[in-house]
Amino acid sequence: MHDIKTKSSDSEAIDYRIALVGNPNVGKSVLFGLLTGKYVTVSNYPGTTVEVFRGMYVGSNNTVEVIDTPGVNSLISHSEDERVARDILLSDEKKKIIQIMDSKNIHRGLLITTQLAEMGLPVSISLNMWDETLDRGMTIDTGKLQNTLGVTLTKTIATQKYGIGALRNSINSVNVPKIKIDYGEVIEGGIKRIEELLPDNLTVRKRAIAIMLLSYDEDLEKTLKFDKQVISRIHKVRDDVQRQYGHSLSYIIIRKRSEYVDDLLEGIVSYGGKEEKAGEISRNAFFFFIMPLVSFFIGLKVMDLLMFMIANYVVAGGQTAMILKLVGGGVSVGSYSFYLFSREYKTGRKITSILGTLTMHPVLAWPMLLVVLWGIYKIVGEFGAGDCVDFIENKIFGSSLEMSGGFDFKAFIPFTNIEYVFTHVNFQGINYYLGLLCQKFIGADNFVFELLLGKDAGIIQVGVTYSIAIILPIVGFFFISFGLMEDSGYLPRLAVMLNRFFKILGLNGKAVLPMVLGLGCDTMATLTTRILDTKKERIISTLLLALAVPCSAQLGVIAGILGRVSGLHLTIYFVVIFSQMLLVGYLSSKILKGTRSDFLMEMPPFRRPKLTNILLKTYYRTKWFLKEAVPLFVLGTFILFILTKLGILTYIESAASPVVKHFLGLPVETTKGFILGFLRRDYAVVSIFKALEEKAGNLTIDPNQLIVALVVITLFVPCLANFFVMIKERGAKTAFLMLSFIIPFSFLVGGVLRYILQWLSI
Amino acid sequence: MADELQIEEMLEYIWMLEEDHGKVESTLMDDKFGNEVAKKCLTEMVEMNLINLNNSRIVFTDAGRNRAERIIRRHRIAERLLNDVLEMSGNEFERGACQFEHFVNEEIIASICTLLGHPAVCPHGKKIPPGDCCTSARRNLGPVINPLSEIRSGEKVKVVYVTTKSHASLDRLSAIGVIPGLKLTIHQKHPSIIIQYGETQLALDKDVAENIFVRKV
Repeated sequence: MHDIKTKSSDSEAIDYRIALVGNPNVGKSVLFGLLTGKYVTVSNYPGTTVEVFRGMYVGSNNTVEVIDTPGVNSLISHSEDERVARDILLSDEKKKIIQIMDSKNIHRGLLITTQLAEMGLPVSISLNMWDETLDRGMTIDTGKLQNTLGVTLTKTIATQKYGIGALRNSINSVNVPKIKIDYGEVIEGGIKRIEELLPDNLTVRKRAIAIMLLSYDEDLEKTLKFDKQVISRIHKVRDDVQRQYGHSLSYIIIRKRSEYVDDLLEGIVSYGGKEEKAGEISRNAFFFFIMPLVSFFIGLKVMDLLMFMIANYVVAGGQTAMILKLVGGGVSVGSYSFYLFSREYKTGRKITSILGTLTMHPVLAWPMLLVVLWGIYKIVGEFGAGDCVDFIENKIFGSSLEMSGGFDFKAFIPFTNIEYVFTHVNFQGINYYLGLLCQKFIGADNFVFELLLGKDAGIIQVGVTYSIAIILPIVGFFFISFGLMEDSGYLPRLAVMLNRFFKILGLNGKAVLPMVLGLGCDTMATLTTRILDTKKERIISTLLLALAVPCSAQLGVIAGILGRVSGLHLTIYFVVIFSQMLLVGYLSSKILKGTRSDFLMEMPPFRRPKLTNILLKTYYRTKWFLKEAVPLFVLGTFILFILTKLGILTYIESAASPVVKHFLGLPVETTKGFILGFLRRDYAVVSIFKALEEKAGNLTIDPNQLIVALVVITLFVPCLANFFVMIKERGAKTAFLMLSFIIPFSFLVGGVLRYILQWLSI
Repeated sequence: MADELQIEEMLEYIWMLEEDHGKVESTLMDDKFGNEVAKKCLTEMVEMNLINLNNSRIVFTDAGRNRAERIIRRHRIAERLLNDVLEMSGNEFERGACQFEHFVNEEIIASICTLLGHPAVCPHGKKIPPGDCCTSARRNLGPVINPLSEIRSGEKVKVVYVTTKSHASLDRLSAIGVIPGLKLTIHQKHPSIIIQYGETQLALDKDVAENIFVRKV
């Protein structure tokens, strides 16, 4: 309420505001983008808009403002989203409402319309996703409905910009919907009695407020700042009315509304039309060619991954391995085909809906999940974090003192070993040229040179280079794959599959969004914990993100290093991290007060993702990320530089080394790596790896030492950026409490792991 | 002699007072039934060995408690039936339940209880004392009304009533469309329960599904 008021005071030039209202995941954000030309993240995952976005209506010469609100199913506030949405509607600005409905779920949309009508707000309705409604063979008699409601209905397909012009026109002819619900003698009596108690300066009709108060919206009493006496009189009326009913009043009121909408839709919605079926050719191609091929690959890959885990114990003779893999592929083709042909072939459903069902199948969805994760790892961890980072870091940025040696511009011819070099690019790296430039003025051992371009903590050489060369490609590729999962509707299905697991952690399936995002960047993920319903869930997820979810930068390096050592060790690493996540999540769910919210999530249909939307989304997310992260990295590097110069780093190193040496059994040189971890989680990994490598000399590194070091660094403190966000989102006290738990805990786990590995003599 | 009905009403009232406050003062009976009636009935009930009077405190005898329990059970089962299945509301159903409890016999109550799936609480959230039918319910095959969590996937069912712990979760369910009368199909049960109605697929926890009671259609 507070910030809405401050905002309206400074904008006197504004004629009126358009508020976009609707159920979750109906396309409000897409429409917001179309009306304002401003981009907000659009996703096929319910409840992603938590903040309120405002932008100017295109072509209104800054006199009309558009407000995007969180999606809600009811305007009675039980959650943060509902509260935010309701407060916008109650604010004292001059408003017109565009209500967006998922037209195939028109019933649920009209439930909100009834509430808007009670408030007396002028509305225009967009029947969005009209294409999906037609696909399902559903017809809506919009003319008749329009007459009944007295409100303009516009058929739209926001993602294809269909119907937007008509919708824009309809803003000039908004009306209060002609809806009058009779809640029955007793409740109506209560409404009248409450109306008499209400002050006259309300922004919406008294009736609406009275109904909300009868529906136990106690937060509203605070928002409207009633004095105690009025509140107690209202409560008395409410309790009087309640005594007449066996169910809670809110429930009775919703049921009345629902009955009303049922009657309203009588003869308007019918399933006369023909359901859109998949085309014959594409359908046969899917069943006879694509799915067998894909499922063969899934089986092959799953066997491959399994064998990789136990590679040390199998006689990895080429032939046995090959046969096992082929068998895996065969079994997989068999089971997927059996399911598809027995269940789906005859129904002729669209391919996307078949995939929608398949991706949450109790059994068949799991191998698919494994392969999806593997694919993301290949794209992000290997291509992004490996090849791209190598290239940008070493060749584009390079070092301030050494030439990078340039690179070849070349083409590979697939399936052969021939590569064709077009030309050699004699580019020695940006930092090298900067270094040359600086050395015209000052020597390489000058203080300023070290501050900017020093090898260990130079602001440009380390801070800027790191954030752009390493973070940019990794995060960029991660956001692309994440966008694919989000827009196709795979993410909510993942929530369905992982709900049980999250329940152990005191969370529910909804937490899949921040947790998976954490695999890309914990900092960003911590921000999205806001979508969770209760405070307890937000705290647990923040803690788990900081503790046990390695970000893609770190994961890429770790998997690269451990993967080369042995599959077994990579497996141990994952098992340890995973078990700690379970342990800490389970314990904190028991210790922390508060409740877990119920898992109740609407499954959006599986859709073919739009490449432009994904690229756009990736672009905005990456841009946001760079804006947030680069200053932090620069700041962090600067702090590190001062610490090094003042010798404090050496002091901390020597203070921490006994723990590192005696408890973890690691060489003292790795201490610096752990301290670096606070700044750059993946660089810490590299630093530790290098320290171990140097120590080992010509011998190979002890893999047990490596695992212990990597487990500690993963669990160890989150990066600086993440920590700042933790403070911002959860408050300084909670953030420092978490930190003071995480540091000793990570060392403890590392130490225990060391002794267990020794004892098992792996 | 006070009539049977009056005594049943009193037993019921004593039970409810005991449920809410733990102990029952006889003065409370005066407030409810009037001085004279209360006094007369209480004496009679002591004679019938249904209650004992310790100073001004009323204590059930075993026989009295047993009888009161059965009345309460009849009343609350009746409430469930009228409210959930016949969808009466307000005064109507309360009055109905009050009349109901006096004329149905145990056998009828047992079959209604079975039909409703042996409900544990009344619509006001108070406990329903279990009867013999409830104790043997495990052996009883398929009551007509089951929690959603016990329906096999692929079945079509109709929601009969919803009993959630909090207003908030009841409101969330009803706002998304899960209200009595809704016809739905169980799409799948693992890894989470997914129901389908209209063009909506809704995933929900087992905890939530246990509170949604449905009848097969």
